[in-house]
Amino acid sequence: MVDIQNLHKSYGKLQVLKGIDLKIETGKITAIVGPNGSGKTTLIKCMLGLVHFDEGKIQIDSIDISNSILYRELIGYMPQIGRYPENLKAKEIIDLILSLAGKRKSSNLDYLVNLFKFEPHLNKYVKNLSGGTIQKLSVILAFLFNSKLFILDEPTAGLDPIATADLKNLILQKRNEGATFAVVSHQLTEVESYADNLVFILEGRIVINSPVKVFIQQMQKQSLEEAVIDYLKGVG
Amino acid sequence: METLYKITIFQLQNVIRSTWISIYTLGLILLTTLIIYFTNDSSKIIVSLMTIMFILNPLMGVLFGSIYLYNSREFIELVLTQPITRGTLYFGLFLGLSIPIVFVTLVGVGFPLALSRIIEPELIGNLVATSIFVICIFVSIAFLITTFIDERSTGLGIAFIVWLVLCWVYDGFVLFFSYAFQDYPIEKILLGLTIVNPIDLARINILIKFDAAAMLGITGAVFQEFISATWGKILTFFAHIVWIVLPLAFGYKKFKKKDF
Repeated sequence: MVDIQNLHKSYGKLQVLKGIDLKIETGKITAIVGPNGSGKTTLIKCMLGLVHFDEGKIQIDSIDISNSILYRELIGYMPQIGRYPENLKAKEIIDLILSLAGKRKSSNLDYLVNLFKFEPHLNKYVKNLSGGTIQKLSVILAFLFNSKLFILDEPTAGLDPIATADLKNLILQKRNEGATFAVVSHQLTEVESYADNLVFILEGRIVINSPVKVFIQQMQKQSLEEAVIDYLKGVG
Repeated sequence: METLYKITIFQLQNVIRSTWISIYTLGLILLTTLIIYFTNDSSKIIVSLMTIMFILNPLMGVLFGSIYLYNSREFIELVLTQPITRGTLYFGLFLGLSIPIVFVTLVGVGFPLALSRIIEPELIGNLVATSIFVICIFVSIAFLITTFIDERSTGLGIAFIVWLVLCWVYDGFVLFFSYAFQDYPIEKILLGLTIVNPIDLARINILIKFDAAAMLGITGAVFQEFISATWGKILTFFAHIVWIVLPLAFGYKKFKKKDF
């Protein structure tokens, strides 16, 4: 689904991505993890076209993203912090994204509103929504269309336990329907519960790229968290 | 074009509902009404209103514009992940931000003036039109600053300095220049210096229509000739357009390549 080749990105003298080669498998959930400042968010922002990379190539569904914006019709994106125009109602923000649908037709709005019990908030102004409710709005916006690829940045941060469970189920359901996921997360326990593949980025380089279960077995540990810590101790 | 329209409308809805816009509109209506009813002389009304039009409104345009754009950063990111070009978003944001501020001037100043019937409609039209240009110029400058400067406090500081220079400091420089070279024929140089600053050009454009322009001496006569002539009017219009387009175009160039 996603093919990244030799990706480099610097901000001034700071080299953030140092030659990333990555293939994100179709129909799989790939968790992108790593410490703060390792380059995870920059990597997904390159995939979204928000950050211009210096060198390399990204293809999404065989479309070179440097040549077209149409590939964005394939993507559902959830940012780490959802901040929306505060004088608009939640429904109006959803309408804006729906109006920018392009060729995307089917909308999951009613299903998502029911799932996250969002009905009472639809006509509220964003400035009157709590942090958790804004996060639910971000989830709804990301899953509004039946996208082929979902890019989620810390999706469960700020969500209550019920909404977190609902979101995990939604991710798994979409994965089972054939969607591909790239999920940035800090929480290895959570990643282990739903991710198929693990990509660990350290200082702008991929140091682990493996199926989650295979990696845990290779490291001879009980959990992903233990396996990663053990691996990092070995590297460090 | 359809996407540009959608972005503009959404942006417009958000800006027009802002508490600051409501407060500013009511403040302008109140201030303009007070000026009209406490000053009987139409020239004095215009001169007082020029303080609002060419000092307060530019400050509002550049600061409100900058704050608004800094606050919209995450939302801009989200919209950019949709199948929409950066140009459409950029110009949609500009239109959606400029139109409400222009509307505020029409309602806050134009409306009370038109109701009072003290000043000729043509002059009101001229004053409001010039003010609209000035607002668009300062919103355009806000776009330039916020696209180049990511750090909010630095950007707002620069916005304030730009306003200070164009509205106050530049005048001091022109005054010093005309005083230092008073024995020389500098009328045309002064005219050139005036065209360079949109605020000065706007002020002269209005002032020259009064008898008070006679007090400006030979410089006033040169300005009068310039502003009254067709080519002068075209040049004045063109200078304002350039001041809107240039910052916006440089901002757009940066916006296209900007990392969010």
